[in-house]
Amino acid sequence: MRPFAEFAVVFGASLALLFIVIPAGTVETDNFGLSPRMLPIVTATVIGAMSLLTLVFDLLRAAPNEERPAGGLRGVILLAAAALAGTVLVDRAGLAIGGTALVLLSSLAVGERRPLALAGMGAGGLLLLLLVDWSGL
Amino acid sequence: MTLSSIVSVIGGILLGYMVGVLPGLSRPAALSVAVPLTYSMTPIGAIAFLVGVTKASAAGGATGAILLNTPGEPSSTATTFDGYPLARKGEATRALKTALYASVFGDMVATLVLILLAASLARFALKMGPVEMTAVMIFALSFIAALSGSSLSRGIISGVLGLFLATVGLDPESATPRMTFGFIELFDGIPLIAATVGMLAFTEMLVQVQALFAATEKTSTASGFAPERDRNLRFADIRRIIPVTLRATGIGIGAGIIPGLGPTIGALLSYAVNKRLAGPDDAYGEGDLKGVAASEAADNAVLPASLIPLFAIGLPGSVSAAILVSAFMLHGVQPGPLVFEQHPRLIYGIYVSMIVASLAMLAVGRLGLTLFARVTLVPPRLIIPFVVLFCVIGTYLERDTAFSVFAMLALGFLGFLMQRFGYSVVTFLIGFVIGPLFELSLRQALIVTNHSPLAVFSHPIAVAFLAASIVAVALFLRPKRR
Repeated sequence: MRPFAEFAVVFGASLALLFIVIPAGTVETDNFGLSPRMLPIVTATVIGAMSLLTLVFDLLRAAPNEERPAGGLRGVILLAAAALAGTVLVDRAGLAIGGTALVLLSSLAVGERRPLALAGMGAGGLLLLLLVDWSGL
Repeated sequence: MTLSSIVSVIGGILLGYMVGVLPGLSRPAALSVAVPLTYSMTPIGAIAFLVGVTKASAAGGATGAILLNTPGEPSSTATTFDGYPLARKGEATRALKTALYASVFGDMVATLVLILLAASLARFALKMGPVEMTAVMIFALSFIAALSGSSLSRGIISGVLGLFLATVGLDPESATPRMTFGFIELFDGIPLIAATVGMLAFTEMLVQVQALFAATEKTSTASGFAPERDRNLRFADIRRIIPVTLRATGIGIGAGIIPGLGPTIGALLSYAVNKRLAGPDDAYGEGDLKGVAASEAADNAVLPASLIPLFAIGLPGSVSAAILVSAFMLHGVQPGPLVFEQHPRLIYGIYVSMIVASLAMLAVGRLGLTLFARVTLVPPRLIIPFVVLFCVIGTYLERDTAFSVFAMLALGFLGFLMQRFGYSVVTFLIGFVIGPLFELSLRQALIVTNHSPLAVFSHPIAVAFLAASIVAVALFLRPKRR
């Protein structure tokens, strides 16, 4: 079942690139060299073709599915959400405030709940960000 | 070479190491910031300072790559492939030592080659036109087959996806936007820093946090890293990595001499070649000192070699070399064939400063190494938030916009999904790094040859590289005998 699902996702994505993304995101020009669409079309086509090949190989080999860790996805979602929220704050409030909030949010996302540790992480992050700001980098 | 020049070199080394360790602060960016600092220096002192910054940032980039899977420089990307697994196995210090010694070796040998053979090797650089560059890029892309991992077709999909995403931005010929969808930030393409930091560092943090939450056996140790039992490099280790380091240095020198290739492609190419030539006892990708040496020696050999065409014919071989040109001109020196006659003292001063920089790099790196390795003792709950912060700072500083950070996060999540389903992040990065130069060279080659494929036969270097590509693919596809 998994090879078919994987094929559907990758092949579907290549079709979406070929028929939606590339036509909407590029224009034809009459320049002498290559069309701006040429390389994107070739690469999307190769992705589609290789996904078909992957399906054939997987069916022929009938290899047992590799074991992937099923648990822990909550942590992934929490950390990704924390990073996203922190980045929005960096965009809105600047690097020092947003970056400090990012450290605190990420700490909470990975399960840190001790107030002293959180205060230390926040202070450390702020110090680092102020140093970056001061250095002019 | 005066005392003030030596102090300048050491100052440059310290600044360069800091830049190298922090992800996102790229070597060209650091050089650009450092050039104004040299206004009041003597010409030799100024160039020595900048050489120190450049060399040390290359060596420092390995530290984050090994300890946090976060390459300080894009050119350290290949170092993560074996460096980080070594750190997780409890061999962080050994990996850091290998990186340092291979870096210094590659840098030293390339510097000596620069001193001895600059003029004759520069003539080779002049022969590298668009047709030859396209062939070199095809040769580099052929290594996707070697680095695909367990599934060749998935590796190719990843590499081609990297090529596809590299086409985002302004079309190199007509300057019309491609797949930018109204985002001006995408006109320069998806930032390389966002891709490398996202795909390697942020992806790794997602993997770590998943393991932390799942409380798998892998992270049952307090730090997520196995305890360090052995910190020493033995004679047997050195004997193993010497041939790899020599090959990597040669590849790095080649990548430096050929204008446009740069350290990232040089290091990836060297890793791929050495991986293919691995023996049955080697474990590239799983934590092998050879993998670290293969990447670092090549990375550090690129800069001195890229100065060969710069000194001999005034042609910068890399972005860093191009910025050095501005520093030369700022101090009244025009790089080119006449520089040896007009400014012999300066040139020999620079040569000496480069050797001093290599030695200073060794000393600073060796002293810092023990301190850096302590990162592995810090629990992941403390490391993960700071690495995420470094990822954000690094990508934010590169273009001073949150857009790069969003791109990094998106690519990090994509990398996490790719890893989960067996798609190689390594081949993705090869395609992404090589893509822009490949497309540009291909377009130029088509114009130069008037769209005639047969015209390639009048370019012997291109024919040689194309033949090498065919041989390489055939070798990579052949099953290895164990």
